[in-house]
Amino acid sequence: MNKLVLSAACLYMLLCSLPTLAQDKVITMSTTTSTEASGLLDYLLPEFLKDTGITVRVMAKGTGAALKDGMDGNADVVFVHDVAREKKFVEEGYGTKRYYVMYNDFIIVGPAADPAGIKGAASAVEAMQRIAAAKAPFVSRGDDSGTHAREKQLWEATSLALTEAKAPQDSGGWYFSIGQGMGEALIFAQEKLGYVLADRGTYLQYKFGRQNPYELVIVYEGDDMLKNPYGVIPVNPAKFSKVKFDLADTFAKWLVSERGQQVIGSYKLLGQPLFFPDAK
Amino acid sequence: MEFLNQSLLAALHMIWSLDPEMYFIVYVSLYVSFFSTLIASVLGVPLGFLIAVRQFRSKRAVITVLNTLLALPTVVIGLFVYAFLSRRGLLGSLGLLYTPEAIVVGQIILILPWVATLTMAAVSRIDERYRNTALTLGATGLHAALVVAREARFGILAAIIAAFGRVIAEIGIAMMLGGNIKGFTRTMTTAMALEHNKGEFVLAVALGIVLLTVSLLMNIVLQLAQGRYGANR
Amino acid sequence: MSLFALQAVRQVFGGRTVLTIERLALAPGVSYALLGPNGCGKTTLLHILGFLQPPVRGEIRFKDRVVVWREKSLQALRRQVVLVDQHPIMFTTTVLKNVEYGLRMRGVPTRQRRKIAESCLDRVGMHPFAFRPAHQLSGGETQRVAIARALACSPEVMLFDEPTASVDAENQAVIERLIQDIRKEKGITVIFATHKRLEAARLAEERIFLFEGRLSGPGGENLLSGTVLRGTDRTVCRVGGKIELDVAARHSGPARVFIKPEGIRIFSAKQAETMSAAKLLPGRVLQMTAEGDRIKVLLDVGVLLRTLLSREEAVRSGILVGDQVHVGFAPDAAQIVQ
Repeated sequence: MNKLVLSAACLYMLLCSLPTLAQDKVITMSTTTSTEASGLLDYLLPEFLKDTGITVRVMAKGTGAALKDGMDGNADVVFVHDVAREKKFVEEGYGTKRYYVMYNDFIIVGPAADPAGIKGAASAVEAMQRIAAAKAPFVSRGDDSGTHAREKQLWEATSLALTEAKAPQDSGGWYFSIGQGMGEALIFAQEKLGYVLADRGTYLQYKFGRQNPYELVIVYEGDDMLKNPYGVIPVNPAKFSKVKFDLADTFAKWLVSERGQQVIGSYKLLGQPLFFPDAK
Repeated sequence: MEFLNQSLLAALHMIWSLDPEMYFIVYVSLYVSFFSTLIASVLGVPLGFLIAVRQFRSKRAVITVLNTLLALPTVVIGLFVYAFLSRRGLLGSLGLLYTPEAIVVGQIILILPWVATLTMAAVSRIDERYRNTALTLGATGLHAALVVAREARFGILAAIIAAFGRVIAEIGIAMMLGGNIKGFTRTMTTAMALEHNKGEFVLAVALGIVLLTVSLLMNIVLQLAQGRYGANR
Repeated sequence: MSLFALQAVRQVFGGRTVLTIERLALAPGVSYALLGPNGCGKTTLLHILGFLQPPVRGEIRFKDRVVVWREKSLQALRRQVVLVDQHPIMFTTTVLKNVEYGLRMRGVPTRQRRKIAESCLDRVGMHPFAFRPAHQLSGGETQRVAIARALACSPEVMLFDEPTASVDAENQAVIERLIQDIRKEKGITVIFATHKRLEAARLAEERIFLFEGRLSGPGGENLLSGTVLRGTDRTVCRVGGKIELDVAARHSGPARVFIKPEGIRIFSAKQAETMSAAKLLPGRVLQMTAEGDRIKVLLDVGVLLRTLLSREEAVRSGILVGDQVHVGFAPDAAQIVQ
C-alpha cells in the first residue's frame, strides 16, 4: 500500500514539474513559412533566448492561417507580412500593437529564356501584364499567404479583367493556382517552365542551398511594389486571457530594439543579406 | 463550440446552394477515384483471383511482396511517380505531371495491392467444391473460375469499395502528383488541407461532410447488395 | 469393352500415399458399390474417375482410350461422367438455375434447358422448390437437387459419394430408389461410395472393397494382425493367439492377414460329428443378417470373423444366433496382405 502511495506521489510530482519547467518561459508564435524556411528564425531565436531566457515555439503557415491562430487565441504572438490585414487584426482588437520589424523583397522567377520578355519591363505591374499577354505559364500560390496577397495586388494594378479571387479572368491553360507553399510553387514552376512570384529567401534556398540545382532564374526584381514588410503583433490578453502577453511583448520589443535589428541585419543566407532591418 | 457551429451552418448552406467551386472539387475527386479504382480493379481482381486459385512455386513470395506493398505510404508512391513524370524524368515528355491522370496513376499503384490481396482473401475463402462441381457439370476452366468469382462477389465488391474509400480519402498522391491546381486537380482532400492552411473552415467542413456522405453511400450499397443475396447464407 | 480401366494408379496428398490400385476394370451399364471405412480412399478414387483430380502416377483408360490429363481433352470426358458430392454444394442462386447449369455449359437453348431442368426436378420430387434460393434447402433436399442437377447433364456415368450418409431416413429411401431407377430406366452406369453394406447389397451388382487405399477382398473387416511362422512342411499365420492358418508367405514375422468370407465354413455340432475334428475350431454365432440373397454371419472364434452363407446352406445347417458351432477354413482362405 505504501509503495502505491509513494509511486502515485512520485508520478504526481513528475506530472506537475514537467509542464511548469517547460511552460515557464515559452511562447508560441505563428509565423509565415518564409521566415522559417529562410533560416532566419534558427539564427534569431537562439540569440533571443540568450538575452531573455524565453523559448519561442514556432508554427509556420500561410499569413492567413497565422493570423487566424492569433484570432482564435492559439498563438501568443504573430509574425507576418501583410500590412493591410495586420492593421485590421489590431483594429479588431486581436492584437495590441503592430511593430514594424524589417522587410525583404519579392522577385519574379522564371525560365532564363524569358518567353514573356519581362526582363526589360518598366515595373512589376508591367511584367505581370506581359506574362498574361504572352499566356506564359504562371504559378500562383493561391493559399491566402502574404506572397499570394502581393500577387493579387499586382494583378489589380494591371488593366486585366479579374475574377472575384483577383486572378486574371482569361486564365485557361496558363494560370495555375496551386494552394501550396513557396517551395512547392517554385518546384511547380520549374516543371511547367513558368513564372512565379517568390520571396527572395526561399528562392535563394532553392537556387543555392540544394544539391539538385534549380533551373529558374530571377527575371525581374527591384520594384518598390515588391517590397515585403514584416510586422510582429502580440495577441491581445483582453481577448484571450490565457495568452502570455508579457513574454510576447518582450519578444516584439526585442525585435525592434537596436540589438534585435542588428541580429536581423547580420543574417546572411548563402552569403547574401536577406532581411533589411527597418524598425521605425 | 460556437465557432464550429457557425462553420457547420455555413458549410451546410454551401452544400445546399450548390456552390459551383465546391461541387467541381467533389467532381474532380470522384473522377480520379472512379478511374483509379476502375483500372486497379480491372488489373487487381484477376491478379488476386489467379494468385488464389493457381499453385505456383513463387506463390508465397508474391503474397509477401503484395503484403509489403499494402504498407506503402502515399508519399513514397508520390515521390516515385513524380520521379518518372517530372520534366526531367523518364516519362517527362508525356507532360502528365500535375494532371488528374497523374493522380490516377499514383492511386492505382496505391490500391492495386489492396484490391489484389483482398480479392485473393475473398476467393480463398470459397469452398473448393464450387470449382469441382462446375467442372463435373461440364464447365470449362474459365466458366468454373467464373463460378468461384461469382460466389466470391461480395468479398470482391467489398475489396473494390475499400479501395475506393482509400483513394477518395487519400491526400499525399493527390497533392504531390496533382499539384492542387484550382479548377483542375484540386480534390476534396487537398482542398481541405489548403483551407485549413488558409485558416478557412467553411469549405473544408462542407467537403468533409460530402466525403463522409460518399463513404456512407458506398457502404450502404455494399450492405444492400449483401443483404439481398447474402442474408440466407 | 471396359468403361474404366485403371492400371498402377497411385494418388499422393501431402507426401502420403492415399490410394494404390494395381488393376481395376469397370464395365459399362453395371452398378458398383465402393465399400470401405472412412478415409480408405473412396472419395479419392471417385475424383479420379470423375476426371477432377489426376493421379500422381498410373494410367486410366476410359472406353479403351488412355486419359490425357489436359484441360482440353478432360472437358469432353467430364461431359460423360458426373459426380454428386457427399455434401453437394449449391450455387448461390435458385434451385432451377442450379439444375440448368450443366445444360447452360453445353449450350442448350433457354427454353429447352428449362424444360429438361423442370423434368429432372420433377423426377426427384423437388419441382415445387424450383424458384427457392438453393441455399435454403435441407441436407436431403440438397442431395436430391444435386441428383437432378447431375441428371440434367444426361451423363453416361454417375458417381455418387456417400449419397445417403448425411440425410434422414425418409430422404435416404427416396435417394436409394432414385439411384435404382437411374440405372434401370436410363441404363446409366452408377458407381457409388458407401460404408453401408446393406445399401451396397441393395443397390449394387458389383462391390469393390477398399481398405487403407488398396483394393481388398470383400469384407475388409476380416483383416487381422498375426504372425507368420515358417516351418519345414508348412507356413502358417497365427492369429488371436491359437488359430493357425495356412498361408503362402516369403517372410516370417508380424503381418496383416485377410480371411476370405467364402473360405470360412460353419458346421453345427451335429454336422461336425461326422468329420475329423482336427481342423475345426469351436466358435459362437453372434449375429446373422440378410444381405441381398445371402446371409452374413458374425462369428466369435477368439477373434471376430464374418462369413457369408447362401440361404440354402443356412437352412441346411439349421444354425441359429447364439449357437455353438465348429468353424473350418478352406486351404486358400487366408492371404497375407502386406
